[in-house]
Amino acid sequence: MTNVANIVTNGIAPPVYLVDASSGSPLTNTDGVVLLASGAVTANSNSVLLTNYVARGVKVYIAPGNFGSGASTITVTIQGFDPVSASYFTILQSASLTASTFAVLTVYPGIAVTANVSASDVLPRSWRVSWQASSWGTGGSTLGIAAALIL
Amino acid sequence: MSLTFAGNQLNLVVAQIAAGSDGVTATNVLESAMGVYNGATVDQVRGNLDNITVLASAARTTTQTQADQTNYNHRGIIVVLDVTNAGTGSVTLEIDGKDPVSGKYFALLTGAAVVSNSTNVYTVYPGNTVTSNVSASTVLPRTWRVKVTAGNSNSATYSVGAMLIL
Repeated sequence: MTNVANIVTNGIAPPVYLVDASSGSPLTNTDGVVLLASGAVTANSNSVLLTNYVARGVKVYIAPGNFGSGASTITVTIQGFDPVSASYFTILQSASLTASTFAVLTVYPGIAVTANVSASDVLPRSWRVSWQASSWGTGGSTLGIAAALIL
Repeated sequence: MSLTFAGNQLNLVVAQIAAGSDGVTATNVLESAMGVYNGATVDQVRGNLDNITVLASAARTTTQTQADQTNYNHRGIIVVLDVTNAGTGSVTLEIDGKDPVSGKYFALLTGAAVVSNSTNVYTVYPGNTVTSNVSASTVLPRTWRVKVTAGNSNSATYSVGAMLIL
């Protein structure tokens, strides 16, 4: 099966049938996209740059676990990327999150807007999430992040 | 589908998948491309696109008007104006639609004047939150362009990139 990235790069229309996240899913919603495998986080960082082939929006699932001693709250930010200038820009940032408190961020055009929870906006082709804390605490804080892309 | 070469023979094997199946192994599915009739010819269907260089980074002192662009099957657009050396210049970005019948352009979204180094994001998409000079809840017509108007004759260095969204 030809990879979607190659198809689009070469200017050929996307295929009718595509079925999984590893190759892109033009005509189906996709979830289970792991942005950060759950584990101890000790420093601010970000996911790899992801490619949104055909979706309009995204839900990002944030699952904090136990926080290290002395850890601050954390925030997670959905960022778009402009390849022309190599600049990242914020699409939606979470509220300050505490240990073991599941949170969902939603970006989709036309939805109700709630500060730090949902944005009526579109997801660009290139995007990522970043996670920040002023302190990740002794031994780090557990965090996992996943996403669902919505057509 | 597999393509193998044995001796002097080229073998093409295409698996047939019954309609109504979900979760079929990707390598077993024959892809076919969609086309959309535009009233005269048939266009390819595109996915989300980015890395569209409207203006490469450079110092400029005059108004820049992009040639007409064709939006084949996208609903909206994100445009990024990245000013890296504003100096004493001033630039204002505008996303225009065009009526090919009259040849007239109309503004879909006009940004505020940018006078400092900054990354500025402009979005046109139906249903989006409307923010003056930043985002518009409307659709991108088939013919569009970006224009960057120089507010004065002083040099400013910037790039403009675009992303088309389904």
